[in-house]
Amino acid sequence: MLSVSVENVSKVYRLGEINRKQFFGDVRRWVKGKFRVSHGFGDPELEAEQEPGASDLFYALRDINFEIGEGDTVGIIGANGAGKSTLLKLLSRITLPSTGTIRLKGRVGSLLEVGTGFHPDMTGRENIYMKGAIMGMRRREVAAKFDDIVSFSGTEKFLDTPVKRYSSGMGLRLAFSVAAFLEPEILIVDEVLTVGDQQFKDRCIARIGEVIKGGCTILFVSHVGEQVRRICRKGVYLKSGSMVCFGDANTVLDRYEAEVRAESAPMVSIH
Amino acid sequence: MQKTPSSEQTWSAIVTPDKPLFNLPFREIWEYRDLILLSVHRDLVAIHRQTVMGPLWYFIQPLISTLVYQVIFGSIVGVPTDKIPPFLFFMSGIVIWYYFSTCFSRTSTVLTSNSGLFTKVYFPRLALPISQVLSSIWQFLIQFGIFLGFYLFFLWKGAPIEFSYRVVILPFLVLQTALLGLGCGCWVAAVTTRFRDLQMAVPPFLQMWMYASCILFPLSMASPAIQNILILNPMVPIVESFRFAMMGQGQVEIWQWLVSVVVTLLILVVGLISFNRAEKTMADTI
Repeated sequence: MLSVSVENVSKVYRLGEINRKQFFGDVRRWVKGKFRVSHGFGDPELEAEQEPGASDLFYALRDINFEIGEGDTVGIIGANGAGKSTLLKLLSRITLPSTGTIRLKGRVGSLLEVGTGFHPDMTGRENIYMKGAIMGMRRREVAAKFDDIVSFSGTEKFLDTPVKRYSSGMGLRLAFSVAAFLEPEILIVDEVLTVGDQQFKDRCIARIGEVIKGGCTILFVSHVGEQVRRICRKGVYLKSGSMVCFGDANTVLDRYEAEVRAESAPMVSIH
Repeated sequence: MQKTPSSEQTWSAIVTPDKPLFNLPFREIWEYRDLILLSVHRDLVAIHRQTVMGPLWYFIQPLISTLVYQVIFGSIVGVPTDKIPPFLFFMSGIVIWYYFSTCFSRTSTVLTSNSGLFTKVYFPRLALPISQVLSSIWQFLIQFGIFLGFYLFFLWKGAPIEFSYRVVILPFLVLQTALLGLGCGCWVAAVTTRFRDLQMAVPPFLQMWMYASCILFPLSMASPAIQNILILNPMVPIVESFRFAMMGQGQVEIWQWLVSVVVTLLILVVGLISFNRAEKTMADTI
């Protein structure tokens, strides 16, 4: 059974500011009767047609295709700006693709930017429930895992103190813990393992291992090849918005690392 | 790549660039009902954190406005109030108007003030405007309570007002006000994700709208021609019906109220459609 299917997915952004010029552009197209989607992009080709030579369109992702089976662990690799975060945003349904179709089976939980959704004036306890609800958990689901979450984060003493008095590390730990115990069918992990000290990082990796054993599909983004090799079975290699290859994690990483070495080699020889 | 036969494969979400213009994700909103309830709780509690008087502040606002209007428009200008004691006349309008304007302004900023959330997590976006409208009810209930206190006092003093079965329409009026506020707010919120101008326009526009909503004068004071125009403002029949239901005085016809219901529903539909459209890419443009 598949858990994620990505079919011909592209994501186009328009460069530049949203300002008066764009407003009049919108109005002009609307008057011409060609205005399809006011708040973004319908068909990017169509948009490009309307504005011949439109150079302000930027393909963050271009024609991505892959399928992930249930319980797979997939590493997403690529340099900065390769489209990793955009892909994760699409998969976590934060924004819609410009073309193509994404199919998902089950609840998607993301560990993207774990600190979001905390209200500074509310206590740690209240925020755990709030954060769980934002991620789609029912109150009683959170209640069932409440003790696990608290002991994992190590914030027992501060549960009834407003989060704004927490140290930044404590807040992040608490946020990560809620997300780590959400137990979604698909879990998206985006470089969150930079959170906290070494001890907490190790616990996070161990926790992700447990989640994998629980049969959860994992999409994992990291610059650290070692982490990807340790956690993932498969890999997706993105390069300036296009998918270079998809397959066994070690093979994909070998290719990525070889390409990175090849690109940086001339730089080294200059020195 | 091997394709699994579609008969075996079931998906819980299919994400495509195009969404139907008007689809309300009722099921999804229901699944996220705890989020709505917790946000309502958060709004109610967080706003009073680190205050000494807490919800008492809700008393001050309508009392001061009522006194100001009473002095300026009641005593100095001498606006007729359909035989209702001026104090009750102004306060009834203010209480229902505040609920509307709170719903409207809170909903209209919901996307920009929570942009950090919208760009990081997926949840049915409509959950936040809905929770705003619900949490504003708390303020309304407190202010309505004060009004009720003065109402009973005037009733006991024998003012020419009448308590009757008509109060049963109050919940409908409050619901209509909430939906109107939600519709207007959603529309502004949707446009604001792209162009921030509208956010600047809301406060002065709301003020203008208030003057056109029969808060400071009765509908009967306007000439028939102007009355017909005023009726198109859905707040006018709401305010007048609110007064009529509570005090049995004033002038409002059933058809006038029905017009306002139709206008309210129209605004709601337009608001939700624009909200849906903005939702698609708000994470990119906000």
